[in-house]
Formats: sequence, structure tokens, C-alpha cells
Amino acid sequence: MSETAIRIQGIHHRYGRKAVLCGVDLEVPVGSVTVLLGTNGAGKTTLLRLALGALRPGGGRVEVHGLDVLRHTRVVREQVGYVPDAPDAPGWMTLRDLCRFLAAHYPTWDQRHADGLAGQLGVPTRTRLDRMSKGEGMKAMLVAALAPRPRTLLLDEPFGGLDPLARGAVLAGVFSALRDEGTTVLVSTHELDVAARLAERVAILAGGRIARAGTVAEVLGQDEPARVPEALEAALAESVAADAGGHP
Amino acid sequence: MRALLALAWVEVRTHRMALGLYPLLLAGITAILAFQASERAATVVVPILLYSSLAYGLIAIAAEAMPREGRTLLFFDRGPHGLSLAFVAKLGFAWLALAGIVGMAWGAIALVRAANPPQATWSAISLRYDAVPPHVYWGAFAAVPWLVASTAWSHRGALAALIAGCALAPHALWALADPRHLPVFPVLTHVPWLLPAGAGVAWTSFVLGRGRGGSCLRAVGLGSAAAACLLAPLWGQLGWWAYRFAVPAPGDSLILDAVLAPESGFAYVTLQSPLGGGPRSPTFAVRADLARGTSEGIGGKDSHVAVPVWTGRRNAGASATVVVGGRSGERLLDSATRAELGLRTDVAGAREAWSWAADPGLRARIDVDLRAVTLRALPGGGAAWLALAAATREAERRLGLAVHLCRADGRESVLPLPANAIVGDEAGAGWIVLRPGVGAPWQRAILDLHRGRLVEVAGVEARRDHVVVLGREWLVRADATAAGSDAPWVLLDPDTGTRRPTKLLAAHDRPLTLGTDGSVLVAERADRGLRGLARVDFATGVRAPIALPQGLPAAEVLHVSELPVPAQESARRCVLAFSTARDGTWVASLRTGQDRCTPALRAHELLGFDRDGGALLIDHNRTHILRADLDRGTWQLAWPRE
Repeated sequence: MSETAIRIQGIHHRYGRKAVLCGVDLEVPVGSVTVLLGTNGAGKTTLLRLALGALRPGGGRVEVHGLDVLRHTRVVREQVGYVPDAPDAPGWMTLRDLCRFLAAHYPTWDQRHADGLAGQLGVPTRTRLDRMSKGEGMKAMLVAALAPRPRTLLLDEPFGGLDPLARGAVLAGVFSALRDEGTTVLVSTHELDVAARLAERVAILAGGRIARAGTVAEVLGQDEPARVPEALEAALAESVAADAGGHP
Repeated sequence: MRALLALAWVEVRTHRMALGLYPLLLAGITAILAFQASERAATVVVPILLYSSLAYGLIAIAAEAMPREGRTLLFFDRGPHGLSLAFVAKLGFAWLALAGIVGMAWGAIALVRAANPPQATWSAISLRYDAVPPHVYWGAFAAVPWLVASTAWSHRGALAALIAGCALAPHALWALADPRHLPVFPVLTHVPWLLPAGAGVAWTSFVLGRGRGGSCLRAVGLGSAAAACLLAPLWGQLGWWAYRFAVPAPGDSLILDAVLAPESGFAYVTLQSPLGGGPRSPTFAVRADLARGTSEGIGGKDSHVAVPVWTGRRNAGASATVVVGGRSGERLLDSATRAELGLRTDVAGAREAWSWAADPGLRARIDVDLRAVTLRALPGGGAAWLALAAATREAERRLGLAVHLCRADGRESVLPLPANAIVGDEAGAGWIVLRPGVGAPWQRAILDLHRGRLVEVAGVEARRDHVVVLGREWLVRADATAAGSDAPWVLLDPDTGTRRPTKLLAAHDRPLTLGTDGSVLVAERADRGLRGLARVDFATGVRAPIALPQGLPAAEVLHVSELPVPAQESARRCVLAFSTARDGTWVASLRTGQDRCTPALRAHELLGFDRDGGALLIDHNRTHILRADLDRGTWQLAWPRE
């Protein structure tokens, strides 16, 4: 079994004439929580969708648990949970509808786990998604992504719209459980304080490449920085500045 | 399978209003239109409205899906089965919707049929042309681009695909399935307005759906209903034009006229499309091979296009001649050679515009409106042509009414008739002629072919059932008044006015036809319906009874005609058409020289005989030609058998 959950090698991707990713290399170890940082438009969402196999790269290769995501799409996706940056299920669905639908697709679906998560996060089960607040919708997406007990979780800005209590519940309850289960997490976020609380590893995406990647200490160049959020912000700014200098 | 069912459930649940609204909407429209319809218009407009609504409804559904394209697509795409299974589910939904719409609409039609409104002629519905192709072709090809559009393509590309699919793709399939009947080119002329109109309506539904939150009810209910209501009439008009130029297959079309060419085994058949609006339905002509049961268009290079066509006949027992009218003019075709003998380029103009391009012999002999030629065989041999609106060479191409008389001794003459005269019923060896009179509606006279002139005799009513020209003498009623319809029959010499009684006919007998041997076929007690037949020979004074065919229903009206049998030059067959109010028309014949009725066959119209003496009949639906053995009372399908 590979110790690398996600291996991204030389990924290129462009939207029309605009190149978004230009040779991205990234490895996410099994059981780690890796925070993906980058400015708006840096390509974080694109990279997550490439990792899921929902986009076909212009070049390069993505493997999840040793399987090429494009060649073994179904097997990979059965092991991967994905939370988009906004609820994407049909608006008429309730959480119950959503779970009923997804249960047919995931052989490892655990409805009791889903019910427990819904209760833990306070997600209404009989309310249509298009009548939920964004925070409730995101929590519903999180429940749907975690219910199959995936080996790997891809989270795209999952804390948008969450109130501080909900965010705390997710961070304290859900992520600690994920760590206990050894689930690999790759999460993109703009919220550096959240990143500081979550991150074991950090990857900074700038200029279409991974500018820095490694443990928090490796990325920040300090063993135990006093204020991690500020240090992450500084590292991000340096990466962006370096990219701007290299690409006038 | 479980995943597929889940996806199908999502599709149905997402579009449940569409699934519910459209069938109900279309069924209601169908019923309303059907109840108000008149004749064939209903049978055409209703299905066209259905498929146009269906097509644009699916466009609207696609538009409804578009606002969520990115997120909804990602939701389906990021699952373990990706979009492929969602695509299958959408396909299933499309066909479910199609089945629901068609089923409900035809359910409505069935209800209307059950109600049996007098305005509509539902028996005229052709499943092949009125229902199935529109729904299948247009529905399927509206669904396919919808699937593509709603799953993968961008908005603009999807719209282009939708419109192109709805407007053009059906014709591609039509071309593959039935290239001879392709209505492509006339339809393509409508593309310039159809494309922007369709795109505009689809975009409107898109905006409506997005602007009001993109809910299924609003987007589909408002957008697609608006699209269907706005464009269905236009599309229906387009469909009408498509059918206007489409040539349905023989066998589904109404036979308007047919001319037999027994020497070649062909029949020239003028057909009327089952589509269109009653008399405006397109007509077209085919050459029917009666031996093989196949057809060939005879509209020249435009033979695949239905054009206003009529056929005519010049039937002297030899070849038939056919006039085919079309957009490029009228063409005169000889049935034996199919050589193009003449072309009349001025269709709408006067009859003087005939200009024969070939065959000066034909031009010398006869220039007639071949649509209205009647042949009359003369007792003792010879024949007379009655050519309405004829222009003969002898008359210096002056238009008028003339009879071309060919006597048994070979002498030919032309009997010009007064202008504006109308030639009516036969009267033995002559015709009843009506001409406008001064101070009276019509003046009547007898065109006596024996004497070769118009004859008026005081005290003789020139009406059917009152006069039969036998030869030198006429058979007339003793009382010329209308009340004298039951008066005894007498023999009259019109030259001298001499009358002599005859006991060969009773007062209630009705002379039917004058045979070539000079005898008269008589219906006995015709005032009470047909009771029997008899042949009366005034020369010998013999009256021979003829038994009616067994099993023949009690006939109320009787028509008799005498037709030549091609293979037997001297043989003429007397054919009896019995018409009954309840059982329709029956045909039997008298065997030459035996005066014995053959078994009767139910038929609509007798065309003539083939070389073997078989009778060729138009069936009572007027869609097929049957070959009947009148001696045995059996028949088989002659055309079409493709």
C-alpha cells in the first residue's frame, strides 16, 4: 500500500487561453490533513477537481491510493469524499433525499453514520437544500461526503457560511474523528486561522505551481511559530510576490 | 441498477411538473382542437401541434436545466458513475416523457373519437403519416440534443444544437428512412426565420427559469408553455408545408383517378395525399405496375415531389394517354412508350396554349382536353369520342365542344356542338345535350350519333329514363311530362314522328344500356328497387330474363357500363355496378353471349380489364387497386404491393 494518498505529477490545465496550472507536483501522505492555500483564481478548486477526476488535465497524472483517477474513476470515487465550495445537489432535495440518492452509489454508505453526523452538526433532514442557509447546505454536503466513510476527503472551501459555533463543531468533532480514522484530507481554504488549527501539512499554490509544500514548520521555516495564521499569510504573500517577480 | 434507478428518480423528480403538465396540456389542446376541427385539418393540425409542442417543450426543459449546468453537472459528475449513468437516466426520462405525451394525446383523440363529433372525420387519420413520424422523428431528435445540451455543452452551443436538432436532424433521419419522400428543400427555406425564432423562445424560457429562481415549475411551466404556444402554430404551418411537398407512399393515399393501360400492364394513378387540408391536399401521379404492384413517379425529374396532377384518358381500346400537370407545365405522356409528346407551358392560361413539341401525327388528329373524354361504342361497330372543350384541326383549332365520330366503315367526322353546351347523360347511341336558351334555363336536345347531328323532337322529353337512341328509331316514353315517368314505352322515328307501341318493355322497366349488338339491357321494376334484369332485342322481338347474382343485397340504384376486353378485340363486357344504401357498391358482369350474371364483388369503381380479362377495381377505400375474377367472384390485391 502506498504511503502517499494523493500523488499529483506535472499537472497542466487551462481554461481557453488562460493557463491555470503549469506543472503542479504534490504528494499528500496517507492520514494527513493538508491545507491548500492560494489567492483567488490560483487554481485550488481546479486542482481538487483534477484530483477527483472530474476534470481531465491537459498534461500530467493524478493518482489516488495508487490508482490513476482517469482510468479507475469509479473505484477512486467510491473511496473519495468531495465537498464543493457551494451545495451542488438539486435544490429540491432534502438531506434525506440526498442520502437516499447517494446510498445507491457508494457501497460503503453508512446511514447511521450520516444520521449521527447530521445530528452532531444540526442539519435539518427534511428541509429542501434550496431553502437552507448556505451554512446548512455546506453542512449537508459535508454529511453526504463523510457518510460513506471515505479514505480520502477533498474539501473545497468547506467553511464558507459556517457560523463560529458550527465551524468549531466541525473542527473539533469532525476533524478529530477523521484524524482518528486515518482519513486523508486535502482542504482548500482562505481562512488562515482555520488552516492554522487544521494543518499538519500546507501547500501554497501560486503562479500555477506549488510554490511551497511540506509540514507547517517546513513551509514556514520555523519549528514552532508563535502566530501561525500570520506566518501562513506571510508565506503566501512571499510566494505570490516571488511568482509575480518571476512573471512580470 | 440501483444507481441507475436513483438517477432516474432524480430526473423524474426534477422534471415532475413537466411530466405532469405537458401530457395534460397537450391532451387538452388535442381535445379542444379535435372537437372544433373540420375534416382532415384536425388530423393534421393536431399531431403537428403535438410534436411541435413536444419539441419546444424539450427545448424548454433543457433550458430549465441550463441555469444549473455547472453545479448540477458537477453533482452528477463527481459521483462514482460519473455522467455516463446520468446520461442513460436522462435518456430514459426523455423517452418516458415522450411516451407520456404521445399516450395522453392519443388518449385524448380516442376520447374524441368515442364522442364522435360530426365535424371530424376520424376514419381518415393515417397512423403512418399523421401520428408516428412527427412524434418519433421530431420528438427523438429534439430529445437527443437536449440530452447533449443539458449534460455537457455550453449554453450557446447547446441552444445551437437544440435548434439544429429540431429543425434539421429529423430530415436527416427522414432522408435515411425514406429518401423518396424527403421534404427537405421546402422546409429549409424556413430555416432563416425558424432558427432565430426558436433560439429566441428557448432563450426566453431560459431567462424566465433563471429569473424566477430556476424552479422546475416556473421554468418549465412558464417558459415552455410560452414557447409551445408561440411557436407551435408557426411550426405547424411549417409542418403543413413539409407535408404539402411530401409524397406519401401509395396505399396511404386516396385514388382520385386512374387510367388503365392494359396493353402494357400499367395504370396511371392520380393520388391525393392523406395529409393537408381536404381539397388542398397535394396530389401526385404514379405509374402503377399492376403485375408487380410497384409504383414509379411520373412527374418527370420532380417525380419525388407532389405537384398538382391530374390524369386524363384517350381510350379507344388501345393505349391510354395521360396528362400530368405540374409546376413546370403539363406533360402528355403516352402510356405505352412513356414518350413525352407535348408540353403545355401555360398551366393557368387558356386552353389555346397547347403547344405540341413532338408527334405531328398526334397533333393533327386530336387536340383535346383529355381530362374530359368519353367514349361511346356504337351498335354495329365504330365509336364516338365526346371531347369536351375540344379543339380539332377541322375546326381550325377553335375551342368548343365536339364529337369525333369514327364509324364502322372507317369514315370519320366531327360533330361540332354549340358553344357553352353541356353534354349530359348517355341516351343509347347518343347523348343528352343541354344548351343555354333564351328565356328558359336550358334547352335540351339529343345528340344522335346514328344521324350525326343534334335532334329535337316535339313531345319527347330529353331526359334520362325517357330516351334511348337505338339507331333509326328511338325508345321513348309515351308521355313526355315529368309525371309520365311511368308512361308506357314506344318506338319513335324522329325523322317522321311516327310512334309505334312495344310490348317488350313494361312501364316500370328502366333501360340501362345499349349493347353493341343493338339490344337493350333493362332493369325490371326499377321503381321498387332492382328486381331483375332482362335483355331486349327490338330487332328480333325477344326479351330474355337474366338472373341476378346470388347473395347480392337488394340493390336500390344500378349503374351499368360496357367495357372492352383488351385481349378479345370484339368482346365487350357488360359490367353491372349495384349500389345499395347499406352494403355499398357491388360489381358483377354479364358473360358475353350468355346473359348470365357472374357472382357479385363488393367494390368501389371498375377501372377496366386487363389483358386476361380480369377486372381491375378501385377498392371502396379508394386506396388500392384490386384485380377481380368476376366469373368466380374472387379478387386479389394488384397494387400497391411494395
